Amino acid sequence: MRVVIAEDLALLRDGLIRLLRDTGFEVAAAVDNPDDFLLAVEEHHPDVCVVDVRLPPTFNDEGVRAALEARRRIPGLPILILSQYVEQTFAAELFADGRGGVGYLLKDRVADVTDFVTSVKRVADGGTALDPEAVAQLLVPAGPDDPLASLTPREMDVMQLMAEGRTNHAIANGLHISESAVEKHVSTIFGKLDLPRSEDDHRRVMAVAAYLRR
Amino acid sequence: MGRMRRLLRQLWSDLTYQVLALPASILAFTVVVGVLSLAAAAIGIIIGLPFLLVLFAAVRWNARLERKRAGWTLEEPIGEAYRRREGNWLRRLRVVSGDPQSWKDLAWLTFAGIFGFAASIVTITLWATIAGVLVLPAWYWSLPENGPDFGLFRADTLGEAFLSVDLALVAIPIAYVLTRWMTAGTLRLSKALLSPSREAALEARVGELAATRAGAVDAAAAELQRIERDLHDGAQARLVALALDLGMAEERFARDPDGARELVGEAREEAKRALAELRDLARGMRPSLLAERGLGPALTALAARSPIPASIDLDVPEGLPQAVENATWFVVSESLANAGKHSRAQRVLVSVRRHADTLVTEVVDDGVGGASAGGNGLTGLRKRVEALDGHLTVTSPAGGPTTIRAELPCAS
Repeated sequence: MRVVIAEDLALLRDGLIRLLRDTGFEVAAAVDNPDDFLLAVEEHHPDVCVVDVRLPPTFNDEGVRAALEARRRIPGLPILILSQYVEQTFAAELFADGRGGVGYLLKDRVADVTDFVTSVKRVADGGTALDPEAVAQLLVPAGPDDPLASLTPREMDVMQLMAEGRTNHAIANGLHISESAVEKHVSTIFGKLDLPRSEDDHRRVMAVAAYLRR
Repeated sequence: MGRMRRLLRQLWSDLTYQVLALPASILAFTVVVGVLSLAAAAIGIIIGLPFLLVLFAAVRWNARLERKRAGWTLEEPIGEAYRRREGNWLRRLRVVSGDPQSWKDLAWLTFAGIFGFAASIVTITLWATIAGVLVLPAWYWSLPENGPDFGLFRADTLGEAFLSVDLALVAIPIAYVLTRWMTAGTLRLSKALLSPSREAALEARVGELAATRAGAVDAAAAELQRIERDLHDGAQARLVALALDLGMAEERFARDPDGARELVGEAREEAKRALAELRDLARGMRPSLLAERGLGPALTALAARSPIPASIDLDVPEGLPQAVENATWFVVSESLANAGKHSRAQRVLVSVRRHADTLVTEVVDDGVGGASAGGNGLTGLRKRVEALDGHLTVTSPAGGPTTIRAELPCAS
């Protein structure tokens, strides 16, 4: 799998290169600014990109804007954004086009190598990865009438993992329950939230994400 | 005796004022007549309108002179406050013509040009006559044939001459009171017309405070942003790298224990560096050596820690602004770190010298070049330098050498 990295801090760029090479990726290019990133993407057509939110020149949201621009030029280009803080606006902008292949994770997640690599691969395969912290912020019921408030704690757990972009299999492993139990929970959740049912993991995540962003 | 001295001092001050009033009033009269006639001509034609600004400026210039003259006699400065002039000439003209102070200036100049002139002539004639009469006997004695003729009277005998001295002595207090009265009246009027109204003074003060407060807020915001950058690029990044190393080590333990051990070692080093950076940030947001020993030793320590052998050439003056010292330290620190990572250089030369009011920092390596000014944390450095009105230039042709040069103003 070929990956393009955009990260302005040499320390972290080197770390990411090492990590991804170590776990079987081929690093096609590693750049430190948005312009080079767009050039590299058009040149290499990578399977997935890993992009820092903050890039020069202003270190605000250049990474997000570069990612959106790259996806405009190459529709569906899988991009995983790394960020120091959870910023809902950025996540919302990334997920706005309703296509898969996007991820938004805190930089800290690179420490859980297996998890991180799974996320990168999932994004590369057109899935999604939304940071648990971002999901947790979204999962706060707006009030007692919010259908979210009617979920049981266990259903909340499933909902959290589902919104993060995980498959039924991964949810089952994470919660130490059977996959059929997960399916039952998912079905109940969709019923309570009045969401269209779908067997497709990706469309299911988008439905959940759309619901949480309403 | 003290009372007498006070009276004499007052008289001296009044007389000086009135004597100076003679040229001043002639000037004021000329300005008023000139400005009014030119303005009448300028208003008639559209293209004459911008010229009105020049006329207002002339009035303002003369009013400033008058403020100085009155302030000098009153022994207290007379303040001034005009509305702020901004924008194109038409807007400025509107501001100036709408400013009551402009018209008060003109009123004062008119008064000074007419009544000020009259008062000055009266005072000078009065005291010159008194002085003349007081010395009349001497005059008579030196020119006895045709006695001095004052128009009002002639002194034909020495007796008459001495009689006139008595008259002059009686006239002195009257002349004194008259002079005092005219001078005090003129001064009071000039102060009333030339000093800013309470409202205008407050307005001017508010403008001043708003400007300084905006400056302070900007500075504080810039400082906060700098700290956030330090955290983000420093300790926070190191901690992420540390977590990453540990994560990879964990993965590796089973299949490659030696590699894993190496990673753990690196992680420990990152942890130490992160701790050191956090400590530095906490300690007054300054690298500790810089705070304790000053810029020179801090730079020497940096050079000693450099992964590439660094020689250092310092001529660092004492008492530089803290912000300049900090920025210089970061320029050197970041440049050395970059050189260590990318340049493959054998040697690096750090020089920090003061040229006139500029502190020039240069870090030159003999490496492969190709550093881009837009990356490698150089943008962060540039922001930091430019926040202090400085410049950062990066010269790094492919094949080297790389020169990073920061110029920081350090006027003390």
